[in-house]
Amino acid sequence: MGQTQEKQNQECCVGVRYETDKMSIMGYDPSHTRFIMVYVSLPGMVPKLKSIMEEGLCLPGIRDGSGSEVRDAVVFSPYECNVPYVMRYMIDHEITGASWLTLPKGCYGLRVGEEKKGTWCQIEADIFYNEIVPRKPEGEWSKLAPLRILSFDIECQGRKGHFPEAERDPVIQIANSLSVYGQEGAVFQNVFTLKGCLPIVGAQVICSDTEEEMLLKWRTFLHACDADILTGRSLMEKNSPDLRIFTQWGRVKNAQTKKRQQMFQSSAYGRRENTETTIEGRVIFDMLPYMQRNHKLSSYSLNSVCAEFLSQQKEDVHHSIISDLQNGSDADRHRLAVYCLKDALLPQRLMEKLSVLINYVEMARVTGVPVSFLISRGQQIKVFSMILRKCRDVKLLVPTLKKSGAGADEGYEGATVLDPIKSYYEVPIATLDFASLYPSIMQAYNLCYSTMLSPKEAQAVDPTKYKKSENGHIFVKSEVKKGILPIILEELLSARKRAKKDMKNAPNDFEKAVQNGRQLALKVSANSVYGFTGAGVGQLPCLPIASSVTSYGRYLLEKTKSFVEDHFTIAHGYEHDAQVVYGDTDSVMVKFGTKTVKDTFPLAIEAAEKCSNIFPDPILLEFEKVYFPYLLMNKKRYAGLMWTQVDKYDYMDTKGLETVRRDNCALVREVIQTSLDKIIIERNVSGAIDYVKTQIADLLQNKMDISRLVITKSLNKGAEYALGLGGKADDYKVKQAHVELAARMRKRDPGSAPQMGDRVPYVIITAAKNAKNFEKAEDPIYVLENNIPIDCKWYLTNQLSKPLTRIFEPIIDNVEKSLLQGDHTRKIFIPTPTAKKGSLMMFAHKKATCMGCKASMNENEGNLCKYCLPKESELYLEKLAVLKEAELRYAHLWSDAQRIHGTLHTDIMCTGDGCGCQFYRRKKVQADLRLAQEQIDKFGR
Amino acid sequence: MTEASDNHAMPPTTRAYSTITPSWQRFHEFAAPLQSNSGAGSAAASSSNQQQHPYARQYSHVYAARLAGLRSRCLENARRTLKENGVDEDDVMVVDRIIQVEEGKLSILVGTIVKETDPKRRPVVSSTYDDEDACSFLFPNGLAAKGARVEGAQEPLRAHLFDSKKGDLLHLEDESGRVELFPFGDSQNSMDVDNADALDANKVATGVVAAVIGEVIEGKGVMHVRSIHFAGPPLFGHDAKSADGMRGTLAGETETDDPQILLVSGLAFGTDSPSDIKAGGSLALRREMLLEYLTNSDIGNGAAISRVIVAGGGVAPPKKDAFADSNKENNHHTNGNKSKKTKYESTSPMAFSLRELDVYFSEILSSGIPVDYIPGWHDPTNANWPQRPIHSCLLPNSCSFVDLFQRSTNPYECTVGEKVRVLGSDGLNVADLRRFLPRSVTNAGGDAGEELTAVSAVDALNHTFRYGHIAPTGPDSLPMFPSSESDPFILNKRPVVYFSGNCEKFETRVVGANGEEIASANAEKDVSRLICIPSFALTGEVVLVNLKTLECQVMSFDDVRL
Repeated sequence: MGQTQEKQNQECCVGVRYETDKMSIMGYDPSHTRFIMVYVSLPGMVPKLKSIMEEGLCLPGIRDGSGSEVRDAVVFSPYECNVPYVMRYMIDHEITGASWLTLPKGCYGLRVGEEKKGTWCQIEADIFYNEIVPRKPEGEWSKLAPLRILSFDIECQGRKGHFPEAERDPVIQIANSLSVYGQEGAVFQNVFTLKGCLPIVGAQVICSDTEEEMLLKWRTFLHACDADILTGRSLMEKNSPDLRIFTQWGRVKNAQTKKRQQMFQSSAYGRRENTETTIEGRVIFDMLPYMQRNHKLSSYSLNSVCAEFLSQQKEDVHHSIISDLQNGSDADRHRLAVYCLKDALLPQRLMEKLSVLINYVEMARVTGVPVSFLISRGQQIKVFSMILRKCRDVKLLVPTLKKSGAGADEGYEGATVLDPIKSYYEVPIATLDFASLYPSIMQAYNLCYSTMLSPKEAQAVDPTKYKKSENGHIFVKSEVKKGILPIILEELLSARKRAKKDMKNAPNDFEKAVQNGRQLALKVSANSVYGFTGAGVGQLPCLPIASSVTSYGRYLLEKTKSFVEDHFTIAHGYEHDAQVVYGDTDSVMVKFGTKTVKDTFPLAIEAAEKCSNIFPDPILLEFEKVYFPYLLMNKKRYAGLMWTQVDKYDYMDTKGLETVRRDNCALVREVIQTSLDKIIIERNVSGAIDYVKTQIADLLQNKMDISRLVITKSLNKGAEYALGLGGKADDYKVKQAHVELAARMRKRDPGSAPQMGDRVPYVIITAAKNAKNFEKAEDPIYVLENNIPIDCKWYLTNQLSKPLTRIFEPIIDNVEKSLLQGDHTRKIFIPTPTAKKGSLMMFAHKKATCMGCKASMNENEGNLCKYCLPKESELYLEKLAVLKEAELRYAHLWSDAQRIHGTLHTDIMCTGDGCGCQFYRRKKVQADLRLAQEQIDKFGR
Repeated sequence: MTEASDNHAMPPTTRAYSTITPSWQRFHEFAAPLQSNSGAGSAAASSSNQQQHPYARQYSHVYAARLAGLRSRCLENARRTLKENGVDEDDVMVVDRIIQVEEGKLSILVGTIVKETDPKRRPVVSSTYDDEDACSFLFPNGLAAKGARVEGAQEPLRAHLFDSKKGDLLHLEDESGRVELFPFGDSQNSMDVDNADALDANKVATGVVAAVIGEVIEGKGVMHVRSIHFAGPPLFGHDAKSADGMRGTLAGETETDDPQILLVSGLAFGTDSPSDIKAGGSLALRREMLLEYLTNSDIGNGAAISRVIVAGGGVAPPKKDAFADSNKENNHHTNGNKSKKTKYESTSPMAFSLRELDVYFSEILSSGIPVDYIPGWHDPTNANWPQRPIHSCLLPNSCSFVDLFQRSTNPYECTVGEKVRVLGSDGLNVADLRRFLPRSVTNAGGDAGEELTAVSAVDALNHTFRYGHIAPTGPDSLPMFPSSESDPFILNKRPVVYFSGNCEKFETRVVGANGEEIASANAEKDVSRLICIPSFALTGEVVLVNLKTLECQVMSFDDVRL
């Protein structure tokens, strides 16, 4: 509805057109065909115009059909008013995101000379908007431009006790790494430093004396390298130094770089807080949201992400020592610069490794939205774009619906989950999946805005022309009128088939990556169409469609179940009666009764084919995999060994188990993982039970390695108040264990206490009865140093018992009794805490005891009583074994840590969050050694 | 019994070269740094020095001390080579810190070698605490059973850590950073490359300090190395006492004296369990024969032996009883008592072996022969190098021979007869180094290709001599004490006899001033004798070293030929 020409136009409205050849997308047979199209001079005027028209206009002199003047306000319903400006232009001119454009010869004029240019671009040209020729991304035009990607990292010098903020703290270093798409590795690397720095091999070092000078130099560099895409760790992490330092990052001269805080909510990604930054002419590619959207990880810190995907660790320099390094010598700053450089390089390598760029470009081409929309916006805009484009072709208009607050909460019945028959199956369980269930339902039953009939309208239509969905909504059959959504889906899915084929025939890896990105983009887009119709606060929600989709889904699932169970019976000549043990949304798990994987395959294939035959096209039931054995714990919670070929299993597939969550201590993850391995892979249930019992016994006897009990949580918003750093009391209502601990540690030693944004590790220690959980949290290092007893019972009841019960419930009776109670839990050991000022142990009098038998002795009698003295050598050997083990552990752990961090000559500063160097074990072994050596030294030489 | 040499003069009544000046105490400082002899004192002392506890330190100090100690010697050697090749010293830049190296300039860098080996070959730190894990640091659990085949032998070490023939990636590191090393392209054409000095990844290991001459290629950050120079063994004369030459005659002794020391390792007491009479029984017999040789003047030549040095392996490695293991496994979850009991059980055979060893030593000692006991890997002392002497309560009888019995640290160092500096260890340093130094052997099939195996023990020993460091692979793969001020394992004074215990077979070599091999001990004056002592349990052999001529003689006690 809105198109603008030149900004300085005084007139608001620059034109009105009367349209009669268009219809609304809503409904099967919309009668309304008269529209007016209003042109305004600025995009910002569109919403205003819309609200004016919606409220109604009272125009004097307008007469109705009978000739009398209309006195009431005329109310208009708006169409396509909520289309972003950029997208409007692209749709109208059939330009898709990330595609090629041609400026025809003679239609444009180049701007030559720096003073004439309005931008920092290398080439600048003037052309009329309607003379640009778009190119569909096919054939030659499907290639990708050699985009320049600049990854950078900014280091700030923090103040004591605060996380560095670019707003307040001086910038001390900026590392850059420039790469070009299609070339492997970085093309160029450099570091800008404040004050001198030693040279770095492989990178240019540019030193400056003042912050201002450095920033100016950097800006020159930024304009010179003219990157298309900006990425980096600075952008990745919250509260990090950001784009304050420049107002001119973009390509357009004098255009301000804008930033605003934005709550991002999407049904697919959940609620997240984002900072949206607009830089004219460049795409900001933040890797953090990308990782959060696409990969489920226990931690999204750069370090752990890189460890996961690049199997590469970086040295983590804690922000509190950055200041010290900066104030040190040139060599110290060199160390910082190397670290900074690595930080800049890693996000870029990550992008390369995950072919992020190519996937996004393909997604932009498929859905037609600009790449930046994919990063900063949700799923809806993609579907919206596709609908708008399709509607434009067939002359339909999309209404702009009022955002109804009430409608947002209005739910509908979702997918069905067949009740699981919980058990541990030691026979193969075949999984039959519907291929793209929801898109194919929409195609098969022709569900669309434009095919829907209200019950009233339906009375006027021939009953053979429509079909009533399972929950009572009526849609016209596709022979009568094909819906927009089914058309879009059909195109997407057939395009995906083509892309898959092209991928197979791709001549090189780059081409392959492009086609793979394309096919993924097509699949994701097809699946998001359903979500678009169901999103309550969306652009064009249509619950009847969404609820019909799910109701058909339920119907298909149940139909499959009854078909399989009716057909595959002994009565029909099969060896066993088949049983559907579980079904969820688009898959059913069938027990065919066969004993081997090999026998199950043909049955499952047959079942998939026969079921597909009874359903309308293109609904297809596929046989994908067999689970054997299969542990079905609950709805959406199962584990099984997956077989896609007859002769070899693929891997262990688990759903809904807390093996990755970081809220739990490592012990839980390990115990769950190991018991599952034993049950599923080794098929050794008794072994798993024994293992669990051993672990519980070790836990209760304090033999557990403390690093396995450490729980970490980060100090986020709200913690500031608790730590006395300001902030509002409102943000911190419920006392949290890690925050309280951080406050306590701050009192103990403000220097080493965790800062805002840090992850606080803690263990739960024994405390007075009825002590609150937050009172029982303690710093693991402090616990090690003071020998504080750990509350093993807490770990057993609060951490281990639930997941264990879940796993073992289908396998053994009375899990509680046999696993969590019993002989192995009888023996417990609680260490004596060391005396420290203020602790209860200060009041205890230490009495010398015999090292052999603990009999009390006089001070001067030595270490052994007269009865133990003859056994001195045995006792010595026993203590020696402890020392020897500790010494070796020390040697092993510390030399390993040196290897991991790639340094022999510098101390390891890593505090171990998400790092393989086993920080707590290293600390623990130091404490152990001290103790063991003390004991040995008592024997003299 | 067979004797390698048959015309021995009757021993004189006074033992020549029986006086020694032990200097291993310098190692002891590092092994037991708290200086605490009384129990009550130590608790107080250690709690007050909690901050200074040595194990609160990290390993970086070890490398720093090592580099500081060896830097000037490496540099000197590199400069000398340049001079010999006629290169003007001004053309070569001596870089103080690796970070300051300039691209494209011929420079000398000194640093610690880091050899990147395949992490998959490294043992994984297990997440559970177990005594057995301690041993898996160096010895694979699975191979323990195989090792039982040759009772008492040092178990095979963890798999070799070297990679393919082309060698592993090398770095040179100092406090300021690292640089990658790469052998200079075509060494044939280059002006000054002496083949022995060329960079060869198969001749160095992590932890070795070296000076490299080469240049950093522009833009790549890789150093192309023309030659590499180690610290080398120190020259004689550093030691004031022996400035007048090492092997002269002592005043009051005649030329006819033939002072010898007897080196033995791997006596492996505790292998005489009734279950393997064959292996254990014969070993016991061999030990008796050795004892007879030493103490019975009718048969042996004990009087000519001025000293017996036991280089590790006094007791056999603890045996893993398959039955006990499975038992433990089965009952683990039901009890805590039982596991404690097994712990006692596992130490008591050790106590028993020690008693045997004690008796054995006292018999030698009572015939007046001094014995020095160096603890080895499986001996009951601490694990990190330098290892402490065996505790006196473990060998009470032997310890009563105050003047004759010496419990030494591992490594061992002393000056025998105020003349001959003897240095050696139980052999773990050599065994560990060998894991990193491959050599190719032609397959038996001839042209079937070459395969890699570890260098011989004497080669490895020779390498440590050239590196100027006894145990370069520590603390990276050899467990080591985190010393900070100085590295005790630097070869600061040149030993005349340099040995390593627990080897598969006897090997020896005479090396010259720079650690190069020399045909005969008498050819030059400044020579050292390198000896790999065969494990007694494995071979029944001991080594006799003539301290005057440095001639070595192997003596075999083989019951088969009896």
